Amino acid sequence: MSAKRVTPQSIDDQRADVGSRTASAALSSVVLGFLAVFYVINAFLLPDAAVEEGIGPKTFPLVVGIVLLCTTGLGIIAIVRGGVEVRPVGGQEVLRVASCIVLFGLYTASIFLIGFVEASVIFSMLVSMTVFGVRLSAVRAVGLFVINIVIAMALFLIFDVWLHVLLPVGWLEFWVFGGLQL
Amino acid sequence: MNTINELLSALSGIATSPSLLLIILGGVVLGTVAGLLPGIGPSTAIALLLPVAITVPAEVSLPLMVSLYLGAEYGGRISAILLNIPGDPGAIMTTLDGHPMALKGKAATALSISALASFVGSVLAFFGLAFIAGPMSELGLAFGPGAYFAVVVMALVLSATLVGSAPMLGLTAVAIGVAVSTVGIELQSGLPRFTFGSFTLLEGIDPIVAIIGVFGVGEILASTAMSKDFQTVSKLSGRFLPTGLELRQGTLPSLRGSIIGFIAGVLPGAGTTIAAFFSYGLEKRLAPESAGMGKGAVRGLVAPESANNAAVSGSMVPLLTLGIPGSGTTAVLLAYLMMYGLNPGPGFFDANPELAWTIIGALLVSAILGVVINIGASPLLAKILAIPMPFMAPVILILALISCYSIHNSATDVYIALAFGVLGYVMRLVGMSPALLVIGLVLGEMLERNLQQALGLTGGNFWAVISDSLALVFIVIAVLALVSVLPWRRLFGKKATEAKADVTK
Repeated sequence: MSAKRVTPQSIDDQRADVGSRTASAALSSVVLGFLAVFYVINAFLLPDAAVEEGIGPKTFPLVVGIVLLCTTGLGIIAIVRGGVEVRPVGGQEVLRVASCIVLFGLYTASIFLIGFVEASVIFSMLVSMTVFGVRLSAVRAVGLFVINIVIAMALFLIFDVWLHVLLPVGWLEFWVFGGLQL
Repeated sequence: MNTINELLSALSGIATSPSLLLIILGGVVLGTVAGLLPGIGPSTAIALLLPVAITVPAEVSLPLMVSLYLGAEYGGRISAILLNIPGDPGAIMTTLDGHPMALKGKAATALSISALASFVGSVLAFFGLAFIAGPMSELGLAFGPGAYFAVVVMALVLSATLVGSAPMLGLTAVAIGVAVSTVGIELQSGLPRFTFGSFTLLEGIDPIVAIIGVFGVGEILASTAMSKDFQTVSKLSGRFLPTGLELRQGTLPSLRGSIIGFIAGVLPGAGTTIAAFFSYGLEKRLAPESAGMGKGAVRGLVAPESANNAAVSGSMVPLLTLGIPGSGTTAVLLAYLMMYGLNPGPGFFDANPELAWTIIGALLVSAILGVVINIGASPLLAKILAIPMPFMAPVILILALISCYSIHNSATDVYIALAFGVLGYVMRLVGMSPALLVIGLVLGEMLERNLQQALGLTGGNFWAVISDSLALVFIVIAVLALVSVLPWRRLFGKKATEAKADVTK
């Protein structure tokens, strides 16, 4: 039986069977280019306080910014000219990544509104089903829901009760842990 | 003699402390699980331990972290052999002969022989670390701020040029990291930089938050492209104990891999991936055609496995003696050491002898526990691989949230981690290593501080700083490393990718 040769690229190809290298190159070039330009402009705007010896607060960031701008520029040229392995990215992937970012942002905000365990359970269900596209029957969805509650409660127990990370408390964790005065 | 005494004292301290042994055991188990799950490397796992690190003292958390690091190198080979996917980057080369062995019905043999090779690499490199670290730390005391500045420059350039497919993108990643390190109040003048009116940013961006973002969140964002039917685990077939012939075939490659791995680990930024890459390349050149490299050869399996485990101890040498991370994961460890107010580097062994030797001793104990767990619990570990990413990913993201939130009990750190996660995802699209950003971030502050001190000593004369004989040596090495990758075909990464393809053929 012949073994399939594995390279990081082939793994990436398996990850993204449909997608465009151009979109990927454009996306990464825009993000990296924006970061470099943004940093250099703000480095130029820094006040240069006078110091007796050595360098002021502006010089080091300015040198770093210029290096960043140069390497990013050459890096973008390398990406555009195809001198770099670029993982293709498809519309569906962008959508999934965007939804994952939005869900994570909402999850972070919601732990203060409904509590850590409750928000974590909802977040886990939504990530599995929307971001990763898992389709579940009603019975399996209930099973996953229960597993997620158990995992979230276990995490709350480890981090809040044992390690004293002050996680926001919802009604479920108050009922289970607060009621027992742990 | 002093080294032997210190070492024996540390080992007896660990052996007589059941709680420390339990912590190291926990670290090895956690590391093995983190290593075997594709997408969770040692860097992510250690970064996610932040709530634990905040709660317990450094004497407890650092042995836990180094044992986790070594455990992850053991664990990475399991998914490489059974799934054909490296669990961590150091196990990439293990797939080349490990998975073909599994396809031949020798998965169990491949797992046990690679665990033994990992053990050999870990133990040999442990002795290398134990006997080099002390003298090198003494040597580091001779470094002034100018020489230190030059060492950091060399470390950043070597890291950028050794890791990833394109040196320019490597340098970009390092420069982004250094740029991020300039956020916050500048210590000499007291002026805020890049804070945009935010009180949270006045303290700067916590390296751990950035690490959780680029490694943890970034990897999950990248994994959204994975098909949910992607994982096909090979059956754990074949005999567990390797034959005498297989052991003989693996002995020399394992020894060679250990030496290469240790040296690669010592090189700043090179880490486990480069170690495995070089050792596999050497075995391929040395092996006769009949060895069947790439088709399930024992030497092709053991060499990279010894190397990646040896690189763990190797990467501890520059971390503990010079305060320079030898890999992405040691950059995370450096961030933790700084968080504890410990300053690894010259004088670290004199200031914290017990802690330093406990960290080193923990590596040997982890190596022993690692081989026992990885051979004894192989069937159980293989079952963990069956957990699909769609159900694993939310748990990792929740852990990322808890870790970031635990720093200041504030959601702001979580949103910063999310922003770094997006950056980490974009970097992965073009093959930029997030580890380089982290190395730049943790070394950036050291770079600026030493430059300022050196300029202060020389009355602001930069040329006097870099013309110091010791500094000049490091600057020349950095320039040579840059020149070797800048010309002409390699400028845009072509030669690097061709070289990579050549080794993986």
